[in-house]
Amino acid sequence: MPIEFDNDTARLQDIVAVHEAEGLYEWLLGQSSPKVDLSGCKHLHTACLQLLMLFRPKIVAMPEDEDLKKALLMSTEA
Amino acid sequence: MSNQVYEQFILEGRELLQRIGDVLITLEETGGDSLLLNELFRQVHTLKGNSGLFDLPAMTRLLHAAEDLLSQIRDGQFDYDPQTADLLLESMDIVSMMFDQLEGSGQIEFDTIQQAEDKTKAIRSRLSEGAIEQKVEEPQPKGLTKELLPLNTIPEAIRMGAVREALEGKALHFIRYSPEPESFYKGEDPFFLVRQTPQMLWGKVYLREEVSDLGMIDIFRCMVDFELLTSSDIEGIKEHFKYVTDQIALVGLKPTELIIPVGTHNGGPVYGDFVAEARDYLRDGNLEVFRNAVRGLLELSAEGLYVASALRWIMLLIDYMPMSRAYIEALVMGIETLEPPQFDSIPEEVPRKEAKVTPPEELYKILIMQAKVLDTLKAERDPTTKEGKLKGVITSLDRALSSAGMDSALGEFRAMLQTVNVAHIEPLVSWIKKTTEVHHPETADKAPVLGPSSTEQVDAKPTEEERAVARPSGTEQGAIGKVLRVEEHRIDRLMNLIGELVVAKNSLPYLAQRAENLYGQPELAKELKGQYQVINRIAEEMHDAIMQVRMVPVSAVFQRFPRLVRDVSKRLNKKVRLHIEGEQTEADKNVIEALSEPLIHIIRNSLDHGIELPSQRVKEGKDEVATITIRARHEADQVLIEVSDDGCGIDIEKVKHKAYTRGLITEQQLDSLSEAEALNLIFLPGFSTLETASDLSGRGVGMDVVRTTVDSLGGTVRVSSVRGRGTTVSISLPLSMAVSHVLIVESGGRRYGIPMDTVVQTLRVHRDAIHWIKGRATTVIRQRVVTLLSLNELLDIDSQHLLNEEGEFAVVVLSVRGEMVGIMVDRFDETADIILKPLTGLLSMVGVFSGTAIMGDGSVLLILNPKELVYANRV
Repeated sequence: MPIEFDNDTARLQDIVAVHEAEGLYEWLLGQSSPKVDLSGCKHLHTACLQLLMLFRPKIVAMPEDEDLKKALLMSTEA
Repeated sequence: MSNQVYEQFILEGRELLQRIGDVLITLEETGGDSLLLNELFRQVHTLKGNSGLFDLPAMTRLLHAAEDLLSQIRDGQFDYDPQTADLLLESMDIVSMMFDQLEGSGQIEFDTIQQAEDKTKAIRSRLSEGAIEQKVEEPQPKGLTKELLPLNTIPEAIRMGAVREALEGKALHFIRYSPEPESFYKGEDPFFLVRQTPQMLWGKVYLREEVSDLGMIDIFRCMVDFELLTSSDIEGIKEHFKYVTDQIALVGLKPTELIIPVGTHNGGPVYGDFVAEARDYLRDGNLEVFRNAVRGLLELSAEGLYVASALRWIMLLIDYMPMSRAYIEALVMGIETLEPPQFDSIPEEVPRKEAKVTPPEELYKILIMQAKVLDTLKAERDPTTKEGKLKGVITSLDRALSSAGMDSALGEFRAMLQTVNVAHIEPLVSWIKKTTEVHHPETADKAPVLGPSSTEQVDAKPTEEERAVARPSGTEQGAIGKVLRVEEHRIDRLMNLIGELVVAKNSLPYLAQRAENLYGQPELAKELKGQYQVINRIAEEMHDAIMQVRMVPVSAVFQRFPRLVRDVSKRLNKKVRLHIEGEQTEADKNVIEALSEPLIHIIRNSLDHGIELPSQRVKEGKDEVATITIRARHEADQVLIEVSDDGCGIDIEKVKHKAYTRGLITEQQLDSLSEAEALNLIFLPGFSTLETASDLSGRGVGMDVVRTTVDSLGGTVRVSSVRGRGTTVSISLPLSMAVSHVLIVESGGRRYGIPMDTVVQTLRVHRDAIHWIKGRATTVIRQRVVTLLSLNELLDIDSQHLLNEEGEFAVVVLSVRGEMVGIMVDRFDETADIILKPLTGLLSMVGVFSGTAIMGDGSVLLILNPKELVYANRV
């Protein structure tokens, strides 16, 4: 499972593909203060990325994957 | 991945393949039309993208190769010659085969994968064969208006890195990538594409639309834009974004455009001395001393200061002296004036174009308007709205100033903004007030006229080609709302239900009869009949409507013929032009589908037997290129399809002789057969006139298949031919096969239906009027001798036909394949509309019945198949 849902935290793993967006969306809708752990994530599809941007969950861990981390940092700052 | 998505993939894949095939053929005829090539490229690309979703590596690889080949053709590096066309067509055939297998077994067979791999190699080797050195204009990405770029939001460290690269000779490009909303459905992942951008220095993702209700969004619609800064050259960018050129806007940047010192203006040491010293150092070339001075001052200044930022830039630029001298001077000047550095004076190699200047009046209006908005802001309670409005005001002012080319005012404005926030808007209000006074139209004339700015006006209009590329997706979008894609079986179910309704309603008249006769309720019977009329009308309209839904244009079948004609004629070394008329003629889907095979046989026959070799044609004074014409049109409730060629026509003597040697006709018939009858011999099973059987036709299976298929559809096929001038085969079919009108007859105590379209007339024949000729009963009807057949005999019913009081037989005269035949029955009943259900299973082999129908009283009616009935008797 590329996404593990654990109470209020979603752990995104490896490559999160477009069809994971639906599950993520449902989950985000049901949470009052969602948290997202990206430490194990190597890439997430734009559909999932835009969900994170829309819901702005608390990112509890940035990706260990340096490339993705850089890409996300650049995208989310400012 | 759900099954539905998979089905959709196959469905769409087939459509795309069809379209690709069509375009490939059209391209060959018209030459390399860039519009068509673009379309082709996109179709192949979409198909490739789709296949990528389903782990079909062989298919994806093959399509990828095809796509690359097309891309090179589009770029003019390759000619679209017949060999290339063959290669592409064959590739698409393999893909089509894969779809067949996927649909059948769900798996692609190993052989097919092997074929695909071979084809991929063939294309690849062709690609590397060396391209023609000639390039056509590529689609250019759209330009961006530089003034609106959020360059100052790029972190300083990244801008510094970019400027370093630029000063070392690299190109800088700012890209805005707005993926189309449907991109996810095409298997694209814009974020992934962005991450792979060559030499990306910076990137940012924005939500491009506001979402008010998170519960209502379509999560598979792309809602984000990306902005990127890259030091890749334009070729690299184009290559990387080649599939989404129409969604890309880009602009080249000069290093100066990124040298934007940012920070607060107040506080810090006094810089006056430094400015003077710096100019001296620069003039004397004392770079090391200068560097130390800058470093010293930098240590004294707080990091967030505007001046500190300017100093950091100077530090960087010192490394690139003397090239960067002018930049440094401008920065030093900026420190003195606390205004953004003016790089205008720096000579540029690139010729500048005039910037569009917003007239002062325009600016004045904008200022007044924004001041009003700010006024309302004070009363606004909701913090989010407030912030939004403020942002709006700032953006419009920023834009107005930029487009007016007022760089200094813009700098002042931006600096002032540092102190503005939602709670503290006074500086903005007073700035507007001040600027409004300066730019009042009356006073504005006296204001210094601002020279052209350093900005380069980039043509923001998409090129013709891009628009052409962008258009198809636009129309697709429009079409989604209007056309509903429904699986066939749903329509069939609806049709069956309506069919049942049509039958069920027929029980009402029976009921009415019973009410009247059995229960003595004439009033109730009358009401029932009245209700029946209403239901009858609705049922008929429903039936009509569902038949409309099932109507398909014949083009669905015709569209594969260009390919067929092309391939076959090439193989036979004949030159043939295909002409299609009336493609839009509609008929029931089943009819159209069943038409495909017979038409293919007819066309193959024309190509193989009808059309002569080019040399032969020239000898006969005909055009070297032969023409095959396919025409479709409506004729009453029939659809008529004609296939004609201008070939050699049918040699009737040869046909007769052949039929004789094959034992199909007797020696007598050899002489007595009329031309028309002789022509019809070609429809007999086991007939072929060409001596050598080619792999195309001529195995004697061609024309009899045509007749069998057409017969089973309730249609007729006719052939006419003029020696040396050509042959025409006409097929006439009922528009729809669902409802048949039948005449109900009784024979041997049973009821049968005879399709009305074959019934010529019903009449009574006195037993004395029946003459026996060679053991066959005949009679004279309208001065013609007509064979009489007994239905009881035909159906092996062991009883004589009944006579009426006058001693007459009931005879139904049928027209079967152009011949009149009388069928003797016991009695005529009424006519009825029935829904014909074909016989299934073992019963389907009983040819004399074409099916069954359920009558209003629940009884089953057997429907006769007159052709089988009559011909079964002949053989």
